[in-house]
Amino acid sequence: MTLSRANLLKLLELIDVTSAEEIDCSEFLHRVAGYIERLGPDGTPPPGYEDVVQHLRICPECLEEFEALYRALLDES
Amino acid sequence: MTLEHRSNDEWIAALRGLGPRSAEVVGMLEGYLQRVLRRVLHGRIPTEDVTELVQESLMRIVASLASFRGDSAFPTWATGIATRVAFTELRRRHVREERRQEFDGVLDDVRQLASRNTPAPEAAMSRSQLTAALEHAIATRLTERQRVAVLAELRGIPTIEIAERLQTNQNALYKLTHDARKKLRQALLEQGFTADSIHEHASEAVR
Repeated sequence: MTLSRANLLKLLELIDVTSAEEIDCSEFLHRVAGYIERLGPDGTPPPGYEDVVQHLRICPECLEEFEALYRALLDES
Repeated sequence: MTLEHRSNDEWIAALRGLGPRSAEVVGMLEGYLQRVLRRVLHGRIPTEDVTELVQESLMRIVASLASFRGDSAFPTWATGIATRVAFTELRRRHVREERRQEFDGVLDDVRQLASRNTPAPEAAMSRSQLTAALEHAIATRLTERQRVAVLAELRGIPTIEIAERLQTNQNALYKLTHDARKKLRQALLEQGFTADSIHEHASEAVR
């Protein structure tokens, strides 16, 4: 097995943003609503939600859900 | 009374079946979720199935009421849960239709890795030291389950499929891959790579 260049870079990116303590996808789900409601108008992350931002960099599935949820809530408002 | 004008306590009471207009309030949330999930899903699931997803979402929301912390409006939190339910179903369908063979490919990679002597970084002349160090760390530092999980995620296989194949749940899978990433990071640091050099190489991925 050898890692393709694309997968090597992807894995390095994940390793680069790995923290000693991270929230998992369940905890993310409980925090994402508060995060969205406090996002700045230009998308600036609110203070106190660094763990949510970090999870979004690690987990493509939660990122996909966040983007869909954010767009849907914007459309609804 | 609109969604916005109802307090979080009123929502929770209604969903617990308390209050004189409980059924009406639940119906209001149901209609709201139906509308929002159709937006979220963009027609990727037939309308009649969206109705089923709304029902499943309502059950999940009621079952999770005790974990609502009140740090957002209740409908925003509830929509987050419904979005998770909807995307989980989308990923299940995707796995059923297309991805079975992908996981078999991951197992082949892991078997090859286990049967081959991955060269130590200093012996790898033809590939970059970082690539060699990373492959060596995957082969020597990770458990078989961690190797499978990491390689499967790199292939973009949905976590629901990986968790099912490893007979675990998604939270335990997250811990498995988090521990694996920490081990790989530590292995690279021990090989002399610095956090800055890892960051520099990783940045190539987003340039």
